[in-house]
Amino acid sequence: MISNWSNLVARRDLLRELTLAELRAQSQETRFGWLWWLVDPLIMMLIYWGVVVGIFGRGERYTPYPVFILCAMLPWKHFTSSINASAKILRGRDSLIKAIAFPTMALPLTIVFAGFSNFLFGMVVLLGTAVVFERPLELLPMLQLLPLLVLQLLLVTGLALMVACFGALVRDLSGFLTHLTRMGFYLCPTLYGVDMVAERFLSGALGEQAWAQWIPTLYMANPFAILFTGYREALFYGQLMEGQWWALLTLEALVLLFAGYRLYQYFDRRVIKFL
Amino acid sequence: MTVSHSGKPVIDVDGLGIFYRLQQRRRVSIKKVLLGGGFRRDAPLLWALRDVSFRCHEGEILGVIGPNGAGKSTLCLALSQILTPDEGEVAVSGEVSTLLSLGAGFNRDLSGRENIYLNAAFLGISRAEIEGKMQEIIEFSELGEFIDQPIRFYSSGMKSRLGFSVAASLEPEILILDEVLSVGDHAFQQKSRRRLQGMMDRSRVIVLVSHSVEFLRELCTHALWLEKGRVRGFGAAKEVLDGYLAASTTEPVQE
Repeated sequence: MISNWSNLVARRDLLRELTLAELRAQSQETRFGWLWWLVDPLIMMLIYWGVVVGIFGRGERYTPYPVFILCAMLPWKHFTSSINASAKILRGRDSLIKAIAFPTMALPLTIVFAGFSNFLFGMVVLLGTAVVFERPLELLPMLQLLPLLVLQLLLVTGLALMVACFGALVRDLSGFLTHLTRMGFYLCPTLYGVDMVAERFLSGALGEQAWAQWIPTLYMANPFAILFTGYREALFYGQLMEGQWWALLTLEALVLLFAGYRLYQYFDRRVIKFL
Repeated sequence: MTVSHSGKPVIDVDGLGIFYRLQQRRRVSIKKVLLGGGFRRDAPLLWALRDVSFRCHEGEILGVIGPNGAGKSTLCLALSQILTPDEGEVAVSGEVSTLLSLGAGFNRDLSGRENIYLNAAFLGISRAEIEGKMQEIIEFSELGEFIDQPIRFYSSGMKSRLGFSVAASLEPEILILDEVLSVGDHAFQQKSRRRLQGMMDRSRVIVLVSHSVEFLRELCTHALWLEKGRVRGFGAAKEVLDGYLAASTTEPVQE
């Protein structure tokens, strides 16, 4: 049974059961259960707040920093946990794949969906933090959250499908992924904002170099830079994100999703021989 | 050799070939990839199946026999449409249910009951359907109170009993079985064999893979004898199985 759209729709029961099973297994394994989905982002946020504001004494321009950092950390965690798990999933479930005919695309998709529901719990923490720190939280900027959630889901799905194929073909990939995602964390505007990138390359010594003028624009080609900016506009600044970034993010998410879907279809049955 | 038969075949395998690239099965080291030659395209091919052709019609029970490495499991994978042919064609008209291993989709952190839903979803049984059969499945598995325990506490016998009980609720049109018949203790084996018989009675075509000539002789109408990925014999069960038995006693064992 190949992994195409119609087979996935026909087996939507499987997608639902697998996602629920994944979430249930996560929550039943631990004593706190689903409370972890709230505690986990809280702890992460406290660590970065402590390090950046408490120890380095930075981040005053991004006050309140907890809201600022969560806006980027939560979608980033959805992304990294999804691709790290996707890289291993086909290899890890080889006995299942070789025993039952089902669209195997359900496996990486389930990871992305389960991660997304963890992310939604994180959003509850983020909204709570935004209320505690008295962010404006106006209706119109908040409405941006809906398209952001959709675009994030499409983006992460596309990337997870690609990584799932490569992870099955190249054994070393998951070893590299940890380092790549760590690097990505610092390269993306997670701990800092895109305004800081612009400032750094457009003024001072670098500002006189012609090539440096291009860096901030190029930097925004990264879909995660736009995504994090979007969440910050919605919940931190209480503003609307510019239309060009919406267009670019939508385009990138759709292209990556399509590429991931087609790549997965190409490798779908071929990859089974490698497992 | 082929038995003449009117009507459209349910399974039509024509010139089927499936290969494994030997290089694919070896670990590729970073050094090799960097220095080139890590993914050689001219890596030797191992044809697990080649030029395999046969047909199955309504009501037939096909036994597949052959020594280890003959391609029996690969044939099952191709018939179940898990692997796609590299050569030739496999045409199956009807819904295929495969029992190649029991409880393959289990999640060890979930209870037996939750795993019934999960396993059923993998097998393509809807939630509504499985809910109707839940009580029957639990009773058949003889797990009692254990059904609400995480299955990491189960013994391997308990796990396969549960796996069999879920699989037994399938209503297959075309059933493919790969030696999963010996489940649990003697009493459960008797029970599962009866249940399997019931499933087989309702199926249109059955493909059985086994090493046991006696077992196949008892059940099958037709037999396919594979050796080194090629068809060595196909036809009425008795003739093919006799031939296989004669060959395996006279020919020296290679391995």
